[in-house]
Amino acid sequence: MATPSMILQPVFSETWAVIFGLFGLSGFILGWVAQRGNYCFINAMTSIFTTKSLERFGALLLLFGLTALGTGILTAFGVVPAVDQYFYNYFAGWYILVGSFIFGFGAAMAGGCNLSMLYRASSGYVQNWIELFGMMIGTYVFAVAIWPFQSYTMQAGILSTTSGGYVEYLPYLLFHSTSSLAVYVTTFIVALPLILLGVYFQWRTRNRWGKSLGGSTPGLPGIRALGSPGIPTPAETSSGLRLKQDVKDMLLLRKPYGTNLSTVILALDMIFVFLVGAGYTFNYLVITSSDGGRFFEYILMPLGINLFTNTPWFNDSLPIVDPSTLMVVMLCVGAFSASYLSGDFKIRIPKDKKRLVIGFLGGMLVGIGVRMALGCNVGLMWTNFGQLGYDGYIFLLGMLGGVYLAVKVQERL
Amino acid sequence: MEEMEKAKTKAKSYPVRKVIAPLILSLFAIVWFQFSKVYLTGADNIALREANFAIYVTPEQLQGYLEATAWTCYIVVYVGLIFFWYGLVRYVESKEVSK
Repeated sequence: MATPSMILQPVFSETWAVIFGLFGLSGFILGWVAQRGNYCFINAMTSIFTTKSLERFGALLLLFGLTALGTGILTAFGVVPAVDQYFYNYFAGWYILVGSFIFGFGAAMAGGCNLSMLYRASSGYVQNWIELFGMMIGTYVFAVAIWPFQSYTMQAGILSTTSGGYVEYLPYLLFHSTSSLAVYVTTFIVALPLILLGVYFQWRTRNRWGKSLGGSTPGLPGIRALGSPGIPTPAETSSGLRLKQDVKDMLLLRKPYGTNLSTVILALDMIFVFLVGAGYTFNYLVITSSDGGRFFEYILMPLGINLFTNTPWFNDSLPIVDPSTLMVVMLCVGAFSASYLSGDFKIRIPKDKKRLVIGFLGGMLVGIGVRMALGCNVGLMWTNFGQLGYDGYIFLLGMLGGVYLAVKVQERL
Repeated sequence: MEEMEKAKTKAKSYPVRKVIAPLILSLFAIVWFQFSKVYLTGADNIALREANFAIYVTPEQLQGYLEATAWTCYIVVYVGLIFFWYGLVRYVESKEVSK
């Protein structure tokens, strides 16, 4: 059997300026929607252990499932070549489990995942500025203290695969093929359980709320209205009007986006990047390499310090600039614009100064964790579901463990 | 009573932060572009000199980045200035009403 290709094949003929610009646009959408939807991976996971709510975690599973479905179908129908889907699959090993555990713990302590840290920092939350700075320091600590050892285990294959790409592509692992049929079947094997589980978790939580609120189910009125064709009753008419009012309020930024609406837009954003970047660059959403590593390097450049000349990891893992740079900058611009236009923007300094120290230390752990895991909750976990790999499952498991530990620690603080 | 409430809302001063924030965003965009042009281009040259091709970015890519950043900068600056003027007018109006 022939070895699958490892040569990228562009889908569109684009200039680099267009690619950078489109990645910037996707970053803007990501920041805007995450801010309006208050989308946070960490909140989704902590609520499982604190309020026993699976609503937001269900939305996360939906996000992963919809992403896998979208990218998988585009690949299965030949719109995007399979190589562009698996080319950037990372290595897998002990470091993903350990790193995601550290990341989950640190982020839950600091009060935000990589995505929410950036949009909250752009909305004026000082604690998240401190977390961001802590993350940069954590990245440096990782680079000098952990990376040399980790890269040795990766090269030697100690509890690690020794290459990524098609080796970690689920269609290849399951069917020893990257054909359209193999991708098609794998897409449904990955996406359907995630989507069904997500819907079930949300339904279960709403059902429980409905019972505890005496039958009145909170949630999206439009979804309930969809299931009732025929002559509208007064209740249906009022729910229709309410839906119209909700849409108007969301467009005028008077009301935040619902969790599921944000989920769908974010999944479409990932699919957009997957399509426009295919064959050129890492065609998925990514945050962490820029905000933790690259921006720390950038801050030091005007001082005449070039980390890329002599520091491990900085000198072999991080191009000076790539489309994710503009994506992260525009993420901050998008989040700032959304918070400013909706009137949410305000410099917020926590009254309890202990929160700042915890934010910094948590940020450091986030920096160490995401670098060990080779990516964050966006660039590795969410992305990997779109890549039809298995690293996302490992990351999800480790992150849940870290968040659980942080919840227990916070209960004792 | 309702009239008084309305008058109170009208008399409330427009927050200064809302006036300054778009200006800071515009300045950030300009600084970011200048930084990219000066320091990132310089860093790429150093990477080439040291033959470190793991981090070196090809001239086409770097030029594409600079071009996209320049356009983004124009958009952010123009939109930022529009919001700045709008905020400034609202701020002056609110001051006059409160007088």
